[in-house]
Amino acid sequence: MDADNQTILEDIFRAVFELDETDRIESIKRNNFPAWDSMAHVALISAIDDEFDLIMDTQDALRIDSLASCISVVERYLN
Amino acid sequence: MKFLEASRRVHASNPSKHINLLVASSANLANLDIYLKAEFVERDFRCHVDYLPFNTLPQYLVAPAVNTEQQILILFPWDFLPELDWRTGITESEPDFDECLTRLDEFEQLVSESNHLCVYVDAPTPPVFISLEKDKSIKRKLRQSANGLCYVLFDADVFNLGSYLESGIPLSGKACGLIAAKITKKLNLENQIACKILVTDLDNVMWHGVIAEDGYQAIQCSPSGRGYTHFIYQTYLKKLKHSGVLLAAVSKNDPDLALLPFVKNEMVLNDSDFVTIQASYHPKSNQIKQISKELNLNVGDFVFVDDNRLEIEEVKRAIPDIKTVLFPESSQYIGAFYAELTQNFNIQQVTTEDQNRTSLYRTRLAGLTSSDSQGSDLTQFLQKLNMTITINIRSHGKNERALQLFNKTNQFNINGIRLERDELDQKLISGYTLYTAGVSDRYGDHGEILACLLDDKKNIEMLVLSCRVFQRRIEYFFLRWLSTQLKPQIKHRLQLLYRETERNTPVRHFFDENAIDYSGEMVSIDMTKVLNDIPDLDSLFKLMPID
Repeated sequence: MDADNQTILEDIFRAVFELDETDRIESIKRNNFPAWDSMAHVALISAIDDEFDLIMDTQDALRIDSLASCISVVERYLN
Repeated sequence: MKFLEASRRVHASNPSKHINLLVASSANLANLDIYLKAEFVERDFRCHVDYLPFNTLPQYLVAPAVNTEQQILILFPWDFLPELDWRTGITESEPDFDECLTRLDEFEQLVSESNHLCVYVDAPTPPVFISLEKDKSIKRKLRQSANGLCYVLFDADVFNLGSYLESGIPLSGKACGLIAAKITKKLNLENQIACKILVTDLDNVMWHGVIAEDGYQAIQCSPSGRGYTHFIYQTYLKKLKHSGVLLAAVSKNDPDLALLPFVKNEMVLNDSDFVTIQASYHPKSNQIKQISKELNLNVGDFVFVDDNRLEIEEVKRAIPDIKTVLFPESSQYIGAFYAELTQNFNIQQVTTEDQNRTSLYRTRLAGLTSSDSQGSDLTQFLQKLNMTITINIRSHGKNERALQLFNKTNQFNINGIRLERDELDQKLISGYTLYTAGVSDRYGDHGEILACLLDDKKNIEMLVLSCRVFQRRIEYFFLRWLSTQLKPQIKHRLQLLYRETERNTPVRHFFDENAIDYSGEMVSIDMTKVLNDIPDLDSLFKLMPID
């Protein structure tokens, strides 16, 4: 994934989970971050759909549990 | 607007107004939230969005909330017929077709009675009828109902079935921006954002260049080169002025220098297009406050344009209620600049009064009384104005100006009630009476400046007086005239429907001085007592025969 798209994903994470610039997004996992509940997950997928103009499949959406997995899933759609 | 842009706007802005919005829907619309808030921010509102608790839409439609400022209803096919909801699966036994049509009609009736801004998402529905014809028939009927009820309809492509099944969220993420934009546009928030005056900086805004440094010959505002964006700005201001928006200028300059380009009359705008051009070395906020005082306009009705962020900040800090817009450094941002500027002015219809408003206010400035003039000084001053009042009955037409006064006047407005055209027409048909009053004086004609609506029991349901003719005793003269007309019914005691608003302090002062019963919503005024306190009223006005 190119740097611009990765920045967009990082910005989405910061906006959805209300993170500061200093927070390390890479360390956030769905199972270790209480703010990442089902509603936040839906908001995350909705924001990604909007920013990248795609409609993510439910199975792909469920695979996302970190920034790394998110980059991997979105990259497939962009390619 | 996409998600990140919406998020940035919501978090970076500091709107001056607050509004509560209730989104009534059977679905979870959480992903719409940030887009709605961003659209409201664009209109200078911080918006608190509430949603109905799960599965309470039918109850809500029977007993809608009454204390929320804005409410919208977002409907899906299964709100009309629950059998059409994908999440409940398809029932084994086929529903009764005629009974479905009856229930659909009943729901349509319920929605129509709720009188909401209604949005319909034409989502695909499962095949609940084996018969293709019945299935099509139900869908056709659904669309007909939705068309009749809804102001905004969205096609199936805004619906995301996967998301709806997985999480109960039916709106596609990439459609939320569009949906929020259309909804907020329809909410007609512009009615609440009707600024009356644009105050503009001069150097590098009205023209390219700094007149004190570059000289008059060097400034540019013609349609070429570096002057082009300033030429466009002047043509835009000219249009605003023609539509009834007042123009004023403030500049940190010597007065003769600031005025020179206008006096030379070589630009699109000249001196007569402005109600005032203030130039001094005082802070611009002070200059604006002075204009506010002289024109008797609330600073919340002002929009200030400057190219200098520091000046914008200084004004915003000193006058938090004012709207400010930064004039762009580059022509690349001109489109966004005009979009931001335009949304501050609610121009739907231009009346003769609108077109003449600048000269009316210039007239007011020429005949301005000192704000602390009282008692005999004020009476003498007013006598010299040679005011003539014309009172008109506008119950049967020619009432556009009255409607405009009801919907734009904030300060001398007894209750802040706004009226749609059809509401006014309906009231007049049912026996209400509408009066207007116009006033002219030695300086010119001010046009119609007062509107009053009496209900069928001769109570005053609405009364507004334009702020440009405050402190002239016009309200006393009109109410005295009205009490004389209604004498057999009211015996000198007028009843007015009063509600305190954020802006109608002048009305409260008027009632503090004159009301005899001030407890409930209906305020009583004994005109005999009032007139004893103002013995010289007849010497101030000449009453023209009724139109």
